[in-house]
Amino acid sequence: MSEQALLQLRELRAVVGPREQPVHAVRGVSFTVRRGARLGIIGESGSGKSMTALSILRLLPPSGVIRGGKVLYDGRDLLRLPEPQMQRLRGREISLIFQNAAAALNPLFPVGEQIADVYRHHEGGSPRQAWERAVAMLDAMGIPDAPRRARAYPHQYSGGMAQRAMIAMALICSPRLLIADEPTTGLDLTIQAQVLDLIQEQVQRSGTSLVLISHDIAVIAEVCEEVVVMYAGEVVESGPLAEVLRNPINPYTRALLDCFEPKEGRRLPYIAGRVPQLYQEPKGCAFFNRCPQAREMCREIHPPTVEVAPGHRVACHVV
Amino acid sequence: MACGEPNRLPILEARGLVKRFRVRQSLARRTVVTAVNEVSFAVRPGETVALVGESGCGKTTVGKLVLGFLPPDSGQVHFRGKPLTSLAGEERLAYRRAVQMVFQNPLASFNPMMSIGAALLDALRLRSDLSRREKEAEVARLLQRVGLEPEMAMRYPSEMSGGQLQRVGVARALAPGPAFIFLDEPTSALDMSVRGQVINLLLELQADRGLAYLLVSHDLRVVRAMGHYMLVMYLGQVLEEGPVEEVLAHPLHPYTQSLLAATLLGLLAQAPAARRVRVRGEVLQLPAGYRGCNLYRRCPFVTERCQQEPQVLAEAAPGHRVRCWRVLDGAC
Amino acid sequence: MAEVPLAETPVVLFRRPRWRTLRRWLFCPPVIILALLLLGAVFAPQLARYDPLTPSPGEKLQPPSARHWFGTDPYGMDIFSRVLYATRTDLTVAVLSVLLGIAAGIPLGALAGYLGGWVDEALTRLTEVMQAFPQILFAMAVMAALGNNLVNLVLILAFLNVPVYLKMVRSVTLPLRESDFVLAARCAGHTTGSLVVRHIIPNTLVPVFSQFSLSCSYAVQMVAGLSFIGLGVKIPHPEWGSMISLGANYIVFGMWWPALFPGLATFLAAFALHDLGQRLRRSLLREAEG
Repeated sequence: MSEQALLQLRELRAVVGPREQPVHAVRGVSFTVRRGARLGIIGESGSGKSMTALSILRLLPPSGVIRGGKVLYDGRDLLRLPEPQMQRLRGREISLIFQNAAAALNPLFPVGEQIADVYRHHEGGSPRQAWERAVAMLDAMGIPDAPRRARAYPHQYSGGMAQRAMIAMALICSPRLLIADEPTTGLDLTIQAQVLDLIQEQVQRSGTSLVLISHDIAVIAEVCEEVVVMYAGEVVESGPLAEVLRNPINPYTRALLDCFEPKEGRRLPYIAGRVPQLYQEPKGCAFFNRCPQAREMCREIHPPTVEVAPGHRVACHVV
Repeated sequence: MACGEPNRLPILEARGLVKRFRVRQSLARRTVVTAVNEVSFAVRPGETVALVGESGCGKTTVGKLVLGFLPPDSGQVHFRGKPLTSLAGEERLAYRRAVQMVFQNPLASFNPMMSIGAALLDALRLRSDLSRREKEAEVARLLQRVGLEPEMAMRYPSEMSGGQLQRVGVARALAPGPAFIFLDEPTSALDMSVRGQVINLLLELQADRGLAYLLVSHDLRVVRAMGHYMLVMYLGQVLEEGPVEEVLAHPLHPYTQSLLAATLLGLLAQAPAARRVRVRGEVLQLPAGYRGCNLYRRCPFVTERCQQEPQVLAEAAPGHRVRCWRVLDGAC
Repeated sequence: MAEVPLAETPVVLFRRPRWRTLRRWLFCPPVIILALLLLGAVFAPQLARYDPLTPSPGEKLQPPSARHWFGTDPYGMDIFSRVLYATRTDLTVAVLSVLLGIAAGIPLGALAGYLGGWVDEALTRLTEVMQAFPQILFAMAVMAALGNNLVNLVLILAFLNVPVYLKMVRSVTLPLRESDFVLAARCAGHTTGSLVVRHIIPNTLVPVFSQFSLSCSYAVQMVAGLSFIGLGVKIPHPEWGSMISLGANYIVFGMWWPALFPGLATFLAAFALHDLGQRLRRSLLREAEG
């Protein structure tokens, strides 16, 4: 493992759902996050990107089970770590922020108190110190009149402000890795822009590594330098963002990018069919039935991952 | 209203629509919120007028006004030249058949207890010209028209994917034989890879049947693909309007510019200057009786004058109107 | 259109209950108890060995024996036969009154929820008044005014059930009022009335159904309780509550059987209905959560 790498996933596997017939949500996902890097994971609903994020922190829902692979953080395999040590990591070294901030905040307590709680839990200190840090954090996130707002309750916050509060909570212990799962979905466009600006600014200033998950390539392109494309629980393409955008190889990546930035006229491109829910893992490629370049081999043999350019990897037979 | 061929009669026209709501702010206080503030537009057959804006801008209220579900406080909605309030009996029924809607969230827009076949049959209520048998055949035909198999009629909404269900939503809107469809964020709830399917279907139908669309969308790709004319709304007011290509290529109002910048985040933007414009802060409700510019607290170019003077919507270029004195005075 | 990939085997969606589920429901304790009670009620004429209404002065207060399985009551009537026939009375009155309450509660609740405004205000105040009344005193007052008979008993209990269902249906209707599919129905040309019937009410039936059994349990207890104090049923019409009342006087003398068996029947009916109701509610709620 290179000294630059902070987090390394190797062949991570996870399933979700009823025990008799679970869905294979994460199927052999591997990627590396270097120190200070900003990596984006793009995938549609059902691609397994959120499950991957939850698996890293071992926060899968009760119906989810990690079936294999390694999650190496600073050389240690998180999947084999005892739970108490895992708890020390969460929020302190690796933080996670979700899509719907208002749902992630406890409606019964003032926002400032919740943030201060996180700080005290990990770093100790008096309630007063923790409170002051929380207020300072809210201020740094651009929330106006922070001392007063810290005493307010989550329902008194707008969507954008609640998202900022959640970012404050995630960053208050200066984590080394921030995982953001759809942090801007559902927000107004102008607010999305502000929140992304904030995330980028904070992450660059503190040298925190970032994993940003989204279904919108524009969001990822705004903040990230590297990208991982997921489909049906697998990584189908990965590499430097500019490179992948300029020269997408995997047919799914190409079709997806085409949907985002349509080339001609008025008809919009789309991909027929839908992302499958895999109750059984297919022998070959999961994109087979929707792929415009599919061949017989694609159905039978699982596509290998090939490096087509430095750092640019593709899982496909048609390369 | 300059859009398309001015000599064709618009199917639906909004003239100076105003709608206010009394909103309870706290236990004791109530204020009046102007959800729609002097909005006018006309939609002709075969055309799409797009309303673009963020939450709270009034676009959904405009839809409800135009569909006849809310009475305007002032201004009028005209259907084929006649004010809605004057329609009664047969004419009212004809209006109800002719004006339909597609909803943002397909799963919420269908009764979970009814199969989609039953839902489509229900949508054929107003087609009294058809017998029960004929209606059932029509359901099969509608499903095929939107690219689904007639056997899917017995499925329930929760058994279908988002894209499929939205196409059923389009089929449902088509059932009564409309001339006009209000499309309320028709693709926002769908994955990127299936949006195109729904949009292409809508475009086909428009070409085939000369349908008129009022499209609400914050996805500017959809607006660009479908829209002929667009209005940018903020807190109930129209801040900029004009032909879609013109407004998207040369956005004049700072708000439009920042919307465009937010949408084309990261990717190769079409208007490089627009990329750097950002409005600050959040959408703030303004106090009742405020007469200045709605964007006052958030605009990066704000001056004192913006708070004092009411803004006026006027032409800055042929067919392209803006509500910003800075732009109109040619300061930029 | 693209075909479904080979690896994807969608889970079969249950619309018809599968055999395993059906078996689980058919053979759970409350259903078995209720089935036995129902069989007893339906086949009372065949199962009863004596006429429930003919007194036998010579056989007063006999303890349970081979001839009289549950013994005899102070009038010499066979308690087993009377308990069987009483099942008819109690269950019919209880279920009928709940059904009537539902029949009135659903449309009123739907209208209150959908129309809002003064209609909602008026109906809500009305339910509050109805629920504020002590139920037994209410029953006594009405019987005193209108007569002490079974029909009035059914009506009173129905009346007492209306507020429960009105409120339940109203609370389910309120969020539905703003939902998109209601708006879609209005686009399709529905009037308020047809909308409520076709779209709102079907969505209220699941919570109503899960409450139904619980209401019946409570109604059985009310019927027995009111009859115990002499309201509704005329002695010697076979009915559990009045039988308990009659038998209660004799417990002191060591004659436990005239009161115990009808008491047991009441308990079993109330328990089975209640337990069934709990199970239904739990499984329907679980299904609703997905």
